[in-house]
Amino acid sequence: MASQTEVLENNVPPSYRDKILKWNGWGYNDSYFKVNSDGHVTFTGDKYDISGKVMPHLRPWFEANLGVDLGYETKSQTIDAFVIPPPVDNDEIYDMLKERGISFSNSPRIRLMRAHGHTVHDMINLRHGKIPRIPDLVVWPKSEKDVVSILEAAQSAHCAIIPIGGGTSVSSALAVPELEKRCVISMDMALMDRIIWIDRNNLTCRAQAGIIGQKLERELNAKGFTCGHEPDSIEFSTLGGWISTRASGMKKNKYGNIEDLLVHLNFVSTKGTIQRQCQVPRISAGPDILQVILGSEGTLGVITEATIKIFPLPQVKKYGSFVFPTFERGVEFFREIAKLRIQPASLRLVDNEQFIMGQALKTEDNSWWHSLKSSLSKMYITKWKGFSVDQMCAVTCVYEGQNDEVDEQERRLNELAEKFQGVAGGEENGKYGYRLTFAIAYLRDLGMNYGVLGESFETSVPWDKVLTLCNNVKQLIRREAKKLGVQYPVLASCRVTQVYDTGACVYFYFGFNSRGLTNGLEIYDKIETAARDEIIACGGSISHHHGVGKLRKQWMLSTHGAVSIGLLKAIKSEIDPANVFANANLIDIIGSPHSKL
Amino acid sequence: MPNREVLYPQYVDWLSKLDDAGGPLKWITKQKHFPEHSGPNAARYWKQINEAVFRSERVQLAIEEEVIRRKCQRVEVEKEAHAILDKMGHKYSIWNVKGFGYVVTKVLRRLFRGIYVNEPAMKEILKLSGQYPVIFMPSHKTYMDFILISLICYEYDIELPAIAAGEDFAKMAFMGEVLRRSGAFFMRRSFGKDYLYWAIFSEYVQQHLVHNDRTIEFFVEGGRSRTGKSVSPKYGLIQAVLEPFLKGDVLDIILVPVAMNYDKILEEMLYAYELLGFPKPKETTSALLKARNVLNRDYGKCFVTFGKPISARDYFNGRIYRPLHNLDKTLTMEEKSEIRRLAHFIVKEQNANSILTVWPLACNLFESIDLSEVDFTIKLLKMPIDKETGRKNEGLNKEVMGLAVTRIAIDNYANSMLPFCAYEAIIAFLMSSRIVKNDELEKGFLFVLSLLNREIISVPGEEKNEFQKAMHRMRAANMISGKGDEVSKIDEWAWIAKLERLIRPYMKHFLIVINCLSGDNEKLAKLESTSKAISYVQQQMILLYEKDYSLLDLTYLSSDPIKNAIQTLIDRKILKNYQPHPPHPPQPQQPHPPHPQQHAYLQQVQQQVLQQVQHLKIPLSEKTEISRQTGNICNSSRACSNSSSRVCSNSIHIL
Ligand SMILES: Cc1cc2nc3c(=O)[nH]c(=O)nc-3n(C[C@H](O)[C@H](O)[C@H](O)COP(=O)(O)OP(=O)(O)OC[C@H]3O[C@@H](n4cnc5c(N)ncnc54)[C@H](O)[C@@H]3O)c2cc1C
Repeated sequence: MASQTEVLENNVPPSYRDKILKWNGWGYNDSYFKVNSDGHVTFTGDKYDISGKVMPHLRPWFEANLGVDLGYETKSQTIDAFVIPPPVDNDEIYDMLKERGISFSNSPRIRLMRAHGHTVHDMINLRHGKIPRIPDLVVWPKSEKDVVSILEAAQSAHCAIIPIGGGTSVSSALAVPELEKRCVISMDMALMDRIIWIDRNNLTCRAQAGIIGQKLERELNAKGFTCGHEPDSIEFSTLGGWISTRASGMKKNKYGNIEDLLVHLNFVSTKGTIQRQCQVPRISAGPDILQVILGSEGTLGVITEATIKIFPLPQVKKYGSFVFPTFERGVEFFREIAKLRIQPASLRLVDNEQFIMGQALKTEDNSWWHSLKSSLSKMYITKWKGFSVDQMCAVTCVYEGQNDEVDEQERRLNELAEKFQGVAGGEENGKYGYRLTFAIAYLRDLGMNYGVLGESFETSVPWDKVLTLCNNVKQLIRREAKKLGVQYPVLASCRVTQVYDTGACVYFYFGFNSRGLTNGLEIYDKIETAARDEIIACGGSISHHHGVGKLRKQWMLSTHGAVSIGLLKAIKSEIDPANVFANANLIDIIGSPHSKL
Repeated sequence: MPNREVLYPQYVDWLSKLDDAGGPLKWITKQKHFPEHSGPNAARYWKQINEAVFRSERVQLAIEEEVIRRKCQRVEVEKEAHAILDKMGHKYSIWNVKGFGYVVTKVLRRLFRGIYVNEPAMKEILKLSGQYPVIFMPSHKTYMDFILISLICYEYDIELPAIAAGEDFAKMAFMGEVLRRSGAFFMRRSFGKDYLYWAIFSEYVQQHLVHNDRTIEFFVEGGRSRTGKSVSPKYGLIQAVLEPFLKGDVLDIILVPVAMNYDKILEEMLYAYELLGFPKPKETTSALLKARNVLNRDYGKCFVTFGKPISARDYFNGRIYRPLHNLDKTLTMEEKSEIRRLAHFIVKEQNANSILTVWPLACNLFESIDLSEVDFTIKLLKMPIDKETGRKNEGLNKEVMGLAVTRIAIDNYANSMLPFCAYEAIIAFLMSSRIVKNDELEKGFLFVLSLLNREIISVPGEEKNEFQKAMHRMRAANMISGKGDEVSKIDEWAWIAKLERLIRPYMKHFLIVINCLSGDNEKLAKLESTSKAISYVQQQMILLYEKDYSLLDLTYLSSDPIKNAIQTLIDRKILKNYQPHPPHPPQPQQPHPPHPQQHAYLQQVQQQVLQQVQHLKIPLSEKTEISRQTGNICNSSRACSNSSSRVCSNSIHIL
């Protein structure tokens, strides 16, 4: 795999990232979709409730909706075949780190594991190509003091730093700029993963920035609390990553997005540490510097610790679901919910394509009772209610709170749904809908084995534009794909995943079979760019929660205007004049190697 | 001759398809499968559409503002809104179409010898119409256009268009209702500052688009061209139609220019009278079908050519930045000027796809047409003028007008020739005026084109290109050759002279209009409207003609070119016009009470055009023969060659 002469290491910690995660795909090594000997799709491992189950409808769905042919495989290269460029050497930094007792390694595989996020580009590069530039060195701070110390060393040895949390970025935020000549240090926050304290009076919790979502939640749960922040990537993404990208969790209706949850943080920059002197619910003390750090995507410094709100665990958590005759009705339903402000913890509306895809993921069930019930209810919906199978769509929701609170919420929602021709679909279907959330990233890897390129992207949009945006973007994706020579059916699907007073978050899935194309990835790029242009023309934003990274930089200027970009640049040059934090996300800085000026 | 590209040249005679299907009854009762729609809904029933338009935010807001402005009860305005909608909306249903369609096809079968359609284009349009809103934009010379497009759509399983028609059609006792039930909706010819009307109208049109309920058809020229050639396009409706795309409400809009070409036109005589200033007869059903034995006549062939569909998305790509509308809903100046450009482009496409039948050629280029063989002209000549309409055009000499009617009817056919070689004709004209230097030719070309911009519709910004292309074509056709900077005629077949005669009358006419309007500012100021000004010019012309009939050609009496000339003089700020501005879509944010109607009057302010014409050294006096002087009238005029120079030198003198 590598032609590296010498591996330099110091006290390398055993890390989940290197031990149990895939090097070329999503999630745990032992968990993936595969086609069994009967030609059916199953899911391996034991970590998920679909593990070990057979999904008899999935292969036919793939065949029908993406033109997948099991005979045509596009297997990933092996890690041994993967070419990893040698590191840019910088003897000085090795010595300094050793002196300061900091763990580090320049082993090729360890560097590779921290060289990317999870865009389709990252995956294609790993599976079939190479990554042009990867970090030269990985360091593991154990404390804020270590972070400060690494920063000093990097500055004096002329190194660049890219912090990494969970590595789940989907904006090319972690990619090392190709033209960066300095030695690039990947600062892995994995060892800074402790809860520091829990304050029961004020219901806050202080934690180190490297803590992973599922660990934070598990430990809070054990003490009777929840932080309520639940992005789909919660298994791997970190507190620091959430703050850096302005993440959003599916239960934000009840608990808020990360910016609502954040009370306080410590931020280490080349100019020193930023730390507000009080931990208060709100402050009027000029512009809020916290808001500058939120969404800074690792360009200004390192988040080391943060205080966030916590909540007592809800008495009940309950799922719910509805079916609607059309997507339009569903959107109207959501609009009304937002107006009345009766949104439960989570709400999702999936379009017909995704509804069907969800059905395809249903597991084989030997219980005859189950299948009878589901076919009966199917009959009720289509025959009695007159819904058309290729129009209807589904809403799933999560209620959390006190018993009576949840009952009341459920009652009001049921009542409202009826007004928009919605039919309650039961708790099981709701639960099932959310299960899909965790499967979907694994599903992409399955598709990639058969030539499918797939990605998700999202936006936020005012209410009056939700429907046209969804329709236009889906239509555009199909049109562009056809124009660019895609020969098989194209998957373009969306869901509304968040509601706000003034608008919603829309999330798209897009995939196509690249079979027969020589430049599938280029075509993919063109389509995604056209789709984002259309999103923006339809009143949508550059991103609701995935962030900008390098993938969406081209829309920053038109999003903010020249003056605001100037301000962002001024902040950057004030706090990091030597561009130590050189991941080149968000904006181009004059004088930096990747600057186009 | 220039080689025009005719797209989709495979024509099919629809009448023979009709016969193959077993005649009108069998044809119309065939099962139809219109394509599924891409919109979120299936095509809506007209009542649903009207209801949705009424409930729309735009209309509700307009009602609210109207209530405040008028200080009246809401129900009152709501009632008015419903009334507007009832008057405007179509009542399309496929059953109606089948009913009327039977009668109409039977009639068509008798009127025409052939109705030719370029079939491959229809197949492409069919595919597109399921995905995107499709807008048919036919050239418009006759009522027949409405009917043919719908029938052809029916033939090819394309959802029948909702047709934007003038409100006067709605008043036709029977046909109005037939049109309405076959999908026509009716708009006022002008809606000034009536915000409520504008809100309802644009919502109505745009809902059809956004829901892709139906295809849409409208005429970018505004109304029927009375002169056989394109009318300068109108921008209001095309703007309303494109707005949903510009604001991101639809992914794309497909515009289909359609060229409609007829051997003969139903309204040929009516137009000639109208152009002489007789008031437009009321659109009545009997006027349409009964009059002049329409049914017993042979209208020859007609060609319906569907042009290459224009995707608004592709057309505007890189020209406009749509996200601006996330903050401001009103269209920008740039967008408006791009839309105007597109409107001109559509007209250009219509012309490029036109089929030139022999008749206009005959009216124009071939010297000796024996008019006595052409039956309709004879009839026209015999028709007494004051029987035509109740009112008389006061002050116009009856006999002169009688002669003029014939001339104009012929001339209108000749006109349809113009778009095919207008640019070459301008060059020929300039060369006949001894302009031979390349750059002077170009300058002169641009100048003449700008004077005749209402006669020759070109795409703004493309003028220099057109010059180059025309030069190229003329070189290729061996009409001219060039050495260095100079261009010279080869012109064995006297093509240059023939071409030249297409443009000369327009230039001369222009000068005569200036002549008629010059001098007496007080008199001008008394003219209350453009139409008054037109008939003033006509009167002046008749005075000239009576003095010496060789001074001007009778076709000059046609009101259309006079109107165009006046409009051009106003645009160029040579005449001043105090008419209130033409209606443009008002902004609902800032409602103003309508202005009291201002008195319009013309005033001469500048003379620069004439100076420029002089500067071009156009020797209008030199040529004696004027192209349209064929037939009886021209024979007698040949003698007096010098007198026509008087008019021109005269006019220069006056100015
Ligand atoms: C399957 C999947 C589902 C997802 N679902 C969601 C979702 O529901 N909601 C959502 O908001 N996002 C989601 N994402 C996107 C991603 O998980 C978020 O952007 C997340 O916040 C990134 O966290 P991370 O710890 O993985 O950060 P990384 O990917 O490691 O880093 C992201 C950026 O933050 C910087 N950074 C990380 N830690 C620090 C730190 N301590 N100090 C300074 N800078 C730092 C990095 O330099 C980089 O620029 C999803 C991604 C995937 C692949």
